Amino acid sequence: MKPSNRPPVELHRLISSALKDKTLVERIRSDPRPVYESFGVPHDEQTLLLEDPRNAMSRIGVHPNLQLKLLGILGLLELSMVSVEPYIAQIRKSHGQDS
Amino acid sequence: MGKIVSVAATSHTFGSANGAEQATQRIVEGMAEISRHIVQSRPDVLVIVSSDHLNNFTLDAQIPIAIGIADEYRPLGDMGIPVQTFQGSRDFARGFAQFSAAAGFDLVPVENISPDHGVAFPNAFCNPGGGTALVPLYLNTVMDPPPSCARAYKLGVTLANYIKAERPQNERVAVLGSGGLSHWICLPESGQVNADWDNHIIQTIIDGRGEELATISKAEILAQGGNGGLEIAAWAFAAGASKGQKGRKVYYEPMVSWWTGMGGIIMDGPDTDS
Repeated sequence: MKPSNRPPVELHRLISSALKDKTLVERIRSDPRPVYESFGVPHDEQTLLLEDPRNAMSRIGVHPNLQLKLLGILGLLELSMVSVEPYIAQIRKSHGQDS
Repeated sequence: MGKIVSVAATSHTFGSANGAEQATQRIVEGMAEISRHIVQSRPDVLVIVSSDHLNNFTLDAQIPIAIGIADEYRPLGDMGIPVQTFQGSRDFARGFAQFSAAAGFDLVPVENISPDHGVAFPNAFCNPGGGTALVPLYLNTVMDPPPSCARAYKLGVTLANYIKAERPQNERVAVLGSGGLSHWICLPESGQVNADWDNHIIQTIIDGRGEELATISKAEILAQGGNGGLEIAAWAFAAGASKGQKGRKVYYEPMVSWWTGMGGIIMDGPDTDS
């Protein structure tokens, strides 16, 4: 059993790796257990994550920004995301910048 | 010696306009005003100060303060930010790292980074043609311990000193703090906004009392502004770069539906002539 103050470093590495690996993202979405296993995520954490990822990450102590990213990968984000591209275009146009 | 021709700070996230159309429009107009101010100051170099959001830095090597020294940057493209290559300034950035080392700051030079929205969003609207050299300066408040407002303010002062002491005659530099204001990320308080605290931070800086931010502890920021509120370190940096000059509030909206307080300010000086 890991010490209670040890952060979930394996899961942190997994999430950070997924940000640069679309294949890994697809594997997490389709069948996360083998991915958790390959990154050495402890079995007690795996069980919690497979049951309820949102609550699990809070209980396990996942870094909040990485929680946000895994929730996004799993399609569980409550906050609606938008593209800022049209607003950037609006700002540029507002003072004659169309480039 | 070079000179600082504009100093500003702004929030750097965005959310859906649905149900908050007028507030969203006021934010866009505020960002546009900051954009105009910076563009019209005709900077050669744009220093954007922000935290990375664990897109370029990882928890395996927690780097609190870093500076981009690359010749060019290609944004990550998160939040739909156009992926357009921007020139950097290796000379400016490496010079500042050296100058800062002598002033007690160990900036980690970073080369191969793709700036996320913290740097890339304000750069997209303040540096539209890419004609101004971008220098990303990271105050990574996602790390633990995060850079304090006290350190950020002093580093901002150090930047102003560097530009005055070591940069070429007539080089024009814009400084933009990016981040905040109050927001709670993946915490039970997520969705709350502390408008009183946000306005207190804004007022303190635009009154020319930015140095007072140095007295705000990490615990106080976490309690009043949330874990995302730690990003006000970037505002403290901007206050330091303006060397205690006053400024004005450009916009503020407590965007509960975006889970964040959104604000922007424009500072005077220290060398502004626009």
